This record gives sequence, structure tokens and C-alpha cells, in this order.
Amino acid sequence: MQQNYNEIKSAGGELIVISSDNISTTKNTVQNEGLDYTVLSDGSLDVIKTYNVVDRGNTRIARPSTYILNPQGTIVSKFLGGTSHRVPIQDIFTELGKL
Amino acid sequence: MKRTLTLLALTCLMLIAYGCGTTEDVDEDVIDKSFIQTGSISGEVQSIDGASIQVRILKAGELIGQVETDSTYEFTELEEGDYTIQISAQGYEMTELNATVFADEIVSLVQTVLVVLTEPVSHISGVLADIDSGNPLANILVQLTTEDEENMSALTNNEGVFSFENLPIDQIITLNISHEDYEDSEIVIQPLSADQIYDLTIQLTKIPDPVTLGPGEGLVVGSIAPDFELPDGNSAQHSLSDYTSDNNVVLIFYRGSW
Repeated sequence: MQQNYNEIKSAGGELIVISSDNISTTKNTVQNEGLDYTVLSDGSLDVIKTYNVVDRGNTRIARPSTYILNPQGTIVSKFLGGTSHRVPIQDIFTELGKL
Repeated sequence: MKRTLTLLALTCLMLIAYGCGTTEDVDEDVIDKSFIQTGSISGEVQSIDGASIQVRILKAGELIGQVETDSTYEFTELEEGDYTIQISAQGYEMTELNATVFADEIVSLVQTVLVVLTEPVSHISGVLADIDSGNPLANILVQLTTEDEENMSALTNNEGVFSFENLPIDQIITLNISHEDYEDSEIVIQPLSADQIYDLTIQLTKIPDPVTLGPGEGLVVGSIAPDFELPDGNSAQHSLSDYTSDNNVVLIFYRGSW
């Protein structure tokens, strides 16, 4: 994901990544993987619930999913994943290219 | 058994008395409809050979009910107030009667004798149906406007049928149907000739329910992304609106390292 981040940046997008990991796990992930985009901790799943992406198999984590928002805050695209953690990076670039 | 009935009747009386006693203290807006006392109107029309008679009831100019009969008619559960009864049949002049309804009373109107029309007229009848199911749509208001801007209304019956009798000939006629569950519909009918009965079927398109997604299916594309505030690994708070104000945002949820 890190290598894609610069491409998202250059396509005029900010990247925010959210999981239900707690703050210290989130800190470890960022340090170990050398990530320089925003990774946020939603330990209580408040935001995950608000975005209706609680995993259906394990209700303590998020379902892998991607939203693309325009500068007005409107959801312009949505990708929902299964259990395998695959971010549809080509689709993201295609959608960002349209904005 | 008789005793039980008497007891029941007493209980009902007490309930009614209680209802009356309390309405004075209650804000008008919150009065339960079942406590509003109603009356009825009944009447009779001299039969005419082979023709059905439409009886419509209006309150303050608004059509509120309609029956088809060959002689007698009755409207029940009418709130107190002034009503107009319109009686019409194909080829006969429309007769209007006025009546005032009081609670728990039946107003009996004098027998109406319809008078044969001398001027040439035409008629429209139609069926309203749901475009998807084909089912007839009952109790929907159809409003008619003539070229001379005369207005009439009719309600569909249980078979979805409505009718307008004794319309002027040689005029363009417009029908309007507006109902909260259906898309508005307007039908323009070219001038009809004397004694013509124009039959039509109108199909209405149901307005779809707003899209709601099942659990885990995310939010609807096109809706506003809800703002939020969450900490990063260093407990610094980030809110979505800080990011969206100038940029597109890619928001990714992942399963984490649980």
C-alpha cells in the first residue's frame, strides 16, 4: 500500500486507513511497515459501524472496504471486499482520475 | 349472558363518558380520532332505466367520498359540518343538495328526481392500475379540468374505476392524478363529440422506496460521508473534514492485525 500512496497523492487524493486495532497496535503497524499515510484506530468500532462495514464473520473488526470521497465529502465510489485483504488499487486510480 | 351484555354496555357508556369529560382538557391536535363523534347522510334517487347513478360527497369543495347506486345511498362516519351531495348520471343534469351533519344523527335527504339533459354532453370513464403489478388502484383522486377551466374530481372505486359524466363537448380535457405513492400523471384528451363515452386505462408508476443497504453493505454511493474524529498511533486526533476540504479522499477500512 505504501508504494501506492504516492500515486494516490499525485492523483490529488488523501489516504486515510482505519481498523479496529487499538492505538498501540496501530503505532506498531505504522512503525514496522514504515507507513507515511494516516492510519487511525477505531477500537470501539464507532466509525466502522457508522460506515456500515462491520465484518459479517467477525463483528469485532472491519470488513475490507474502500470509499472514495470528493472534496464536498460525497461518496463517489465504494468497493467492498471479502475476507482476503485486497485493496482494489487500479479501481481507485480509475475513480480518482475521473474526479 | 344477558347480564354480561348489560355490563358490557355499561362499561362502554362509562368509556364514552370518560372520553367526553377529558376532551376539553386535551390539545386539539392530539385528540384521538376515535373520540370524534360522527353522523351520517342518507338519501334516495328516483331510479332511471339502465343507468347507474354517481353520488359524490364534498366538504368545503373537496371530494371525500363517492358511491354508485341505482337508487339509495348513504355516507357514514362523517364529522360534524356542512356537506354538499352531487348526484349525476349520464344524460341527466347534475343535482346538488346541501346537508349539515350533527354527531350521532342520520340526515335523511328528500328524494331526488333527475332531470334529462337537453344540451349535448360526453363522458369519460377509466381504470387506474399499477404499471408493474397491473393491480387496480382504489380510492385515488382523479381531477379533471376542461378548457373553460371547470374542475371536477372523482375517486376510483375498489376496481380502480372512475367516471366523469356530462362533460362539455368540443373541449380539450385534462386529467391529473397526484398521489404520494405514485409519480404524478397528466392525460390530455382531445375534444369529444356528443354522447361519446371515452374509455381509458391509466398506468401509474410507483415511487421506489429509498435505498437502504443491509448490514455490512456500506453506505449508499452519492450520500454524504459522515464526519468522524479518530486517534492515530500517537493519540493525535484526525477528523475527516480536515482531509476532504481540499482533496479527494480514499478511505480504506481493513481487518487490522488482531
